[in-house]
Amino acid sequence: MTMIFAGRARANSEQNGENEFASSKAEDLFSEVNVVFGTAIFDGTSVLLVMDCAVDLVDPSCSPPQFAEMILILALSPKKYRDSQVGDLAEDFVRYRAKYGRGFARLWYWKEVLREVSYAIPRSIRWGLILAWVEETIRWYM
Amino acid sequence: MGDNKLLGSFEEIVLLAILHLSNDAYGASIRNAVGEATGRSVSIGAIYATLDRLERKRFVTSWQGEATPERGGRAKRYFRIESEGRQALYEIQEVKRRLGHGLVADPVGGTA
Repeated sequence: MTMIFAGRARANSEQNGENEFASSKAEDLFSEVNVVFGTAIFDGTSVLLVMDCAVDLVDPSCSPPQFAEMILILALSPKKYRDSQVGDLAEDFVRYRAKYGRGFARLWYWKEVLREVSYAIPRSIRWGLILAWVEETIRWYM
Repeated sequence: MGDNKLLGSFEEIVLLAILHLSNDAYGASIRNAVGEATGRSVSIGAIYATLDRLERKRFVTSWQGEATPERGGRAKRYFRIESEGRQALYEIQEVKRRLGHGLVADPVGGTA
């Protein structure tokens, strides 16, 4: 099974080659999962992998907050791109989670959701006003 | 020049980002490229609204890519710039070049 190691590779040497070695060793160690986010520490002889998140394992903390995602799906437009947009934000969530931790990633995700909602509200109000006007006009003529 | 198809400034930036990213132009990568180039955080909704406009103008085409686990199984949507998009970019650069003669290097208002 192919695995991609994405995370912070730390070595006792400043050389880039050592970091690459740490990542490739991490791939050998965890061959059961597809994607691993974590920290690989290479001390010159062995590799210690501190795993943050294995995405293909059922770990709810690796996914964006579900309630926030539901709100996001309602707020996003255009509809034909909705699935891709939610996927893009989920991808960034995983990236931020690996880089800054779960708390930061969740806060960032909620900020993005509130931002999208704030763009969606004026549109809803506009449609609400139009519908109210149509309703009033119909009542006037009946 | 197709004046009804003149690019807006954000549309121009997004088109340039797609051109820059080449085969890896999808929502998240375009957003990151625009954010890095402008130094501002851009919402994903604003990016897709612009991409939708550009697609309706036939400046770009899009297709569904692969779904990956870190995206929650959701597919990427890739974008590619079309010849009409390249032409529109060229035209807007020409307009800027023709009208930008009086522009000096100091944006605060200094004179050359």
